[in-house]
Amino acid sequence: MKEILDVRNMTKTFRLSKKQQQLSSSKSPVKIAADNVSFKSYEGEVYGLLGPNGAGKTTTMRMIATLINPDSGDATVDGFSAVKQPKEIRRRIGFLTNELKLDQYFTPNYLIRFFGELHGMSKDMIEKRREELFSTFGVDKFAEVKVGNLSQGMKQKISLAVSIIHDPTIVIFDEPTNGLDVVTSKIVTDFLVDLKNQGKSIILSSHIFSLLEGMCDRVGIIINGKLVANDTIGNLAGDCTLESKFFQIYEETTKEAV
Amino acid sequence: MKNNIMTIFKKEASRIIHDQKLFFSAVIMPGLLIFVMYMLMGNFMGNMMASDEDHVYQVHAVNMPTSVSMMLSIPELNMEITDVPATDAEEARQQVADRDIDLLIVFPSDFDAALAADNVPNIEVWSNAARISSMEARNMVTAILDMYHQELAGAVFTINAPSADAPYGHYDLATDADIFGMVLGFMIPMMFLIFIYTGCLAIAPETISGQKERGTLGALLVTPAKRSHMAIGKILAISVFAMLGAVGSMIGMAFGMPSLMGIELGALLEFYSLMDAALLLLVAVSTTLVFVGLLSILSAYAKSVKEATAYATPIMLIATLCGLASTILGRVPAESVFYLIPIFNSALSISSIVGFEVNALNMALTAGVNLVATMICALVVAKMFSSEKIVFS
Ligand SMILES: Nc1ncnc2c1ncn2[C@@H]1O[C@H](COP(=O)(O)OP(=O)(O)OP(=O)(O)O)[C@@H](O)[C@H]1O
Ligand SMILES: [Mg+2]
Repeated sequence: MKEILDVRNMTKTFRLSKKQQQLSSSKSPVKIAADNVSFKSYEGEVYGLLGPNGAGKTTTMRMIATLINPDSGDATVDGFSAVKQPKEIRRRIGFLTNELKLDQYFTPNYLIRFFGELHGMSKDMIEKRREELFSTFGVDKFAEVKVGNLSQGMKQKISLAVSIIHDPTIVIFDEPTNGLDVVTSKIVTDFLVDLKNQGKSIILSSHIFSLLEGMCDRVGIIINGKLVANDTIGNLAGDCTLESKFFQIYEETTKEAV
Repeated sequence: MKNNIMTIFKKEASRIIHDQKLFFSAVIMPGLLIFVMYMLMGNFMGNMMASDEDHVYQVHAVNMPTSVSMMLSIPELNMEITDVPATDAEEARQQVADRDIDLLIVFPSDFDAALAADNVPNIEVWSNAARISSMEARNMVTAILDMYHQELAGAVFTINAPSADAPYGHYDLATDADIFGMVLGFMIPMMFLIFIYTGCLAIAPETISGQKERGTLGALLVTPAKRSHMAIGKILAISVFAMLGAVGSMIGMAFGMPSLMGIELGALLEFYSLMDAALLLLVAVSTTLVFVGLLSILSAYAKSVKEATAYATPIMLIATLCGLASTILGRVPAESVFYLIPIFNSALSISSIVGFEVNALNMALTAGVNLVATMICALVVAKMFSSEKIVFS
């Protein structure tokens, strides 16, 4: 098994403003969003990050995607360091979250070409990929309609297509079905299954047990910034479900904390 | 990788071109507003103080001795003197107040007799300071009466009596162009700066904070394109359209100014050369760049368009104050130190161009200093785009 992602002791603290301190009802002026997080994932595998709100999933994924810098530690993607070679990593990852949106004033054709160019792809390559992706997603007919005028489901499909225009080695999805209705969610999960079948490596965060259970080879449970469990789904859940295992671990961890 | 600057630039430019509202408020509106404002102000002032070369001054006179009326009737003075009976004096005064006629001159009924008897008769000259032609008529009439008085009294000396150099006793050396330039020098810089700023404000926050707010900036940041290239591409796109807006402002000004000054469009060319227009364009463009730079920094810092617009208000106030620089200083300074301060130098340069006091060194300083200021701003924005605190706050 080829190691594709290696996260080593990544830590990230945020300085909290007075207002944020009051909101989190904590006296500490800093928040340790990721606390010495380490895990590995392998080629062709799906790795799931499971955790409650505010656990540090997004923070961890942003550090891997080189959107933010870790205070300490590092992650390597295909051997490239997130801290030292962020550009090499950005070439190799596809990153999708609901927070990153497509410009609604442009057509899918325009946007996919735009992002293709930013990824340094040749015109021929972009066209080839575009045709391929748009026909897979069945959005050809809407390729010249402004994104703002498309349905939610169609927008989601375009976002997915754009996020993998450069044929990334590893795809990182932060709560990809969050806030979507059942139909649109299905588009996303089908896409994930498709990618998995193509042998892509995927990192996925979610708090939907069934999604993770159905897709993941490995799962990491993150609570309060700490990765408290990290194993194959079989080893982790054992005889019981991922859900009951999660709550068992959650109770143990939070009890310790109290 | 220069390519990425172009890619970003093209996208932002296409965004602005295809958004009619954005394009209108950045490129068309400033010029249109200047034009309309100048027109309205011109109309307003024109009504208040009509004045032109061919104006025939309407002067009503009560009991005017023929000796005086002969002096006032020379054709060069362009006066039409209407004798009215003393009983109509009240009515004529009202006509002066209403700006229907220019002047009412009232002599005592026994003027010649009083003079002969060595009494001191008084002559009333009623005028209206709110009407330029009325003031002009008053000046001429009092000058002539003064001469008449000196003649009668046996003058010791005279002041500004008609001479070969000044046949009508008109000794003011200001040319029409000077007066024109002086008035405009006070009015134009402020309005010009404000309207250029308005154009920049329409696009900079939208192109930078707007994308932060909508999450489309984040999508850019996961690509391998350099942060500095993103910043430069955006600033370039904003600059191009803001500069179009500045050119529009100039066109609006060129067409609005004649009506502001109550002259024909062609007459403007008698005062200003193409060189003046080119210099004005240079100043306008360099000022636009500084505004774009400053607004880009604010927009990168702000979390939303609304926040950016709020931060932009103080700059607007500074621009307004700078626009009044020459008014506050009471002159257009020639010292080069004044031209080392961005925006302030723009206001002074504009004043000096419209006031016919162009100084090549100061013009070059203005353009150079503003360009350097813009580049510094661009570097700051590029740095900000690389900061996670700015991008993910
Ligand atoms: N820029 C920031 N400044 C201050 N605190 C932050 C910042 N980003 C994240 N945090 C804090 O760090 C902690 C972890 O946040 P993170 O977004 O990584 O959690 P998450 O697991 O993705 O949660 P969710 O399920 O709600 O998305 C939270 O307490 C959050 O408030
Ligand atoms: Mg999250």
